[in-house]
Amino acid sequence: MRRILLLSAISMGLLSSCSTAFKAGQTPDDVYFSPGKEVAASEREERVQKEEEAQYQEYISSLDDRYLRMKVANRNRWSGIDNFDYWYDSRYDFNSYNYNAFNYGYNRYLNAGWSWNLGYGYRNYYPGYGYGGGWNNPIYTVISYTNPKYGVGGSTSGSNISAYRNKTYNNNNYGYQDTKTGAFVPSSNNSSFGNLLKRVFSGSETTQSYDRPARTFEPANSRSTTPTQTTPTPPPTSSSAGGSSGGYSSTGTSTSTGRGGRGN
Amino acid sequence: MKHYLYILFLFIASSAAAQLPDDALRTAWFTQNGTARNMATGGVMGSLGGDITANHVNPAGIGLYKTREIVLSPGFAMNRNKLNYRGSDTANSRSNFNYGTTGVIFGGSNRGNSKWTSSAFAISVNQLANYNNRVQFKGFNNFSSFTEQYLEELIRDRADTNAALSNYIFGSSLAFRTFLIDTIRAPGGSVAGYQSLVPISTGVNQSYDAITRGGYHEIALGLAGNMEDKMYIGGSLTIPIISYQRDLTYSETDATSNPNNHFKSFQYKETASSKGIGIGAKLGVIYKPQDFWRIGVAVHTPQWITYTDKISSSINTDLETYINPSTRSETSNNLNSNKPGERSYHMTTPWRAIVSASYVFREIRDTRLQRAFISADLEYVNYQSARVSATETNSDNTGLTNYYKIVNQGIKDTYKGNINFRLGGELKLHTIMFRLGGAFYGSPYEDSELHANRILATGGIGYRDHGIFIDLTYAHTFTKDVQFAYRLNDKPNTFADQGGSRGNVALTLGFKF
Repeated sequence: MRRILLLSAISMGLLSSCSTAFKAGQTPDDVYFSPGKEVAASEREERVQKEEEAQYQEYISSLDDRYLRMKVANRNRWSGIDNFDYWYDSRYDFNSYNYNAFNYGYNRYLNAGWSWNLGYGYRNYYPGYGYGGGWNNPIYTVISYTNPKYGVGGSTSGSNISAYRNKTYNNNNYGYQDTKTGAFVPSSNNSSFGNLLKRVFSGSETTQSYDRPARTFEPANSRSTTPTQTTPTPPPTSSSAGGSSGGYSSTGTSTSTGRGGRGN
Repeated sequence: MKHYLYILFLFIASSAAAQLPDDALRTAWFTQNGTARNMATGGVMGSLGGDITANHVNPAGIGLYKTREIVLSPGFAMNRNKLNYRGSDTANSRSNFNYGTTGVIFGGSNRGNSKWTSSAFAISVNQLANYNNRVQFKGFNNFSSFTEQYLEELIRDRADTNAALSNYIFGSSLAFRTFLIDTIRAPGGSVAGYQSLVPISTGVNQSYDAITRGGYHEIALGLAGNMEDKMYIGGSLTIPIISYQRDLTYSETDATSNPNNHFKSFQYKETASSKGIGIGAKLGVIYKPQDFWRIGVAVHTPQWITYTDKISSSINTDLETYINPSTRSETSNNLNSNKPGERSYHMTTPWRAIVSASYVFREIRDTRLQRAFISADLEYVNYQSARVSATETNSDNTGLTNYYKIVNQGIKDTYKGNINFRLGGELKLHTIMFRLGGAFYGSPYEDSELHANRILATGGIGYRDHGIFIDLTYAHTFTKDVQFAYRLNDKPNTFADQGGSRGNVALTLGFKF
């Protein structure tokens, strides 16, 4: 952690000396507005302006050509169009700031045969319009994953996992707590779970007894959800029990062969 | 005999410290972490953008950048846990350094006749979850014992004494070798079952103490495009890196002073580590339907992670006169050539989806006129969709794959999908900013009896001028959870109610360049 702190401090020192771009003016806050680099912005504006101007010039030239051709073909027929209203009608004001207005006005007042620009829609934006591919789609990766392959067999019941399905709870003890001593005075017994207990006697006095948790095998041919205490015939057991139950495999081998005797 | 030894060596394994559904929750249920600014506003980042945290939440948010910046976010967390177990209270605290989103963003306007006004690239690292903590509880219990899980395991697996000795070397075998559990003999001398030496009817004092370390880190490589300052589309390739260690000490001590009841105490110790690395993706869109408004949608694919776990465990017992001498101990390393147990597996974390809206006043160049924002995220996480599977080298091990099937079923039975909600805002006075936020994270548990949630209250200040920005945040998380020391199949389970909080101080330094 010290190394991380030291590295952070050094990085901050170096970086603070590099932060010169915005020292003089306002520091952009990209959450609200990201201005981009001034040079880039002016370049873009210039480019857009040039494109718009070129389109305008092309359009005007086209109209002029058409007008001249018509006038040459029949001067009298088209003389009426050569008036002040035509050239100064606001509907034909193509210098509008909003280029979309240009398209709108053009298509509205000129018949379809004239609308060479129909659908050009420069700078129009339709959300969800479905822009085609071929441009900078963000890189993304869809991760496909499969369910694990399930084998058959296995030598564990996974009791530690199946216990998660047991959704009954008991956070209370049997009996009561002695208010004077603080000790817990147990009641008679866990009678409802008597088959999970083993009564043992303490010392030589058989009157002193207590219960130990115990589980016994069920008969092999009649397994049920709760083990029974009495087992007429011990069922088959397995020395391969436990298999891969924990997902752990040993990296060595067992060096011990037994646990030895109790010593008494 | 040779046949038995062969089987023993072939199947030597354990389930006492086995892979559990809890492992899947570690990489799924956590609160949003990010830069100090992000944390101060409750972690909202589904639609706001303009903060490097977006690279880990909704990558479209980095598309708002037309500038470049580098960000460092060190932090400090203080855990205070209060647990109640069967009527007894236990409190502890644990503090540690951490960090929020740290990285660099390159944003810039596009040249040429492109429909993309600008685009941005970001590389950042974030600590999604911090595992440094200590969970400790104690209490009297005359209802059930930790050792009963061993009895259930041996009985349900129909394990004979050879299996009990050697096939569960991280749990049941240690208990059996130290006589903490022993056989029940039928009249003919055969093994009819197993019993624990714990005198449950007179009760034991149980103690659980787990110290955890590590974190869930994520490296994100994000790219986003900006279409006419109206729509932003982004995606990030994520590399999750997980490091987790747990030192567990669990004990049961005789509640009586009876020297003849064959039990004084036992202690189970476990040192487990889990390291993982993987890959995933996050995709998102932000749209501005009108001035000041932003709507965002993001989807996080499952993170596909490969883990390598190691475990060592031991049991020490004092059984008074039941054995001579009265104490025994056994370790898993001793039964495994002095090596810890090791396992490798794949895990896919739950997918999640976020919808969000923000109001930003105003979205204009002059920072003196930028006044405030408010934002809200709604996040859905399907906790029960986490899955584990065998690695390619183990895919033909039917015992192992069958076990993972059981684990996956356990995940589905234990967890559910739920909603997280985040809300936050900022008031901006030119170069100084004030922030407030909050969040609610719903319970991942399927069972409504297990009460769990996380509530965040956050606040902070920020300064931005001269090409740098400094943000300072305090985030307070109120935690409600449950902790199980062990689980049983055939008896009601007992657990500790966890309360308490985590205070997190976060600092972010950023430089525009």
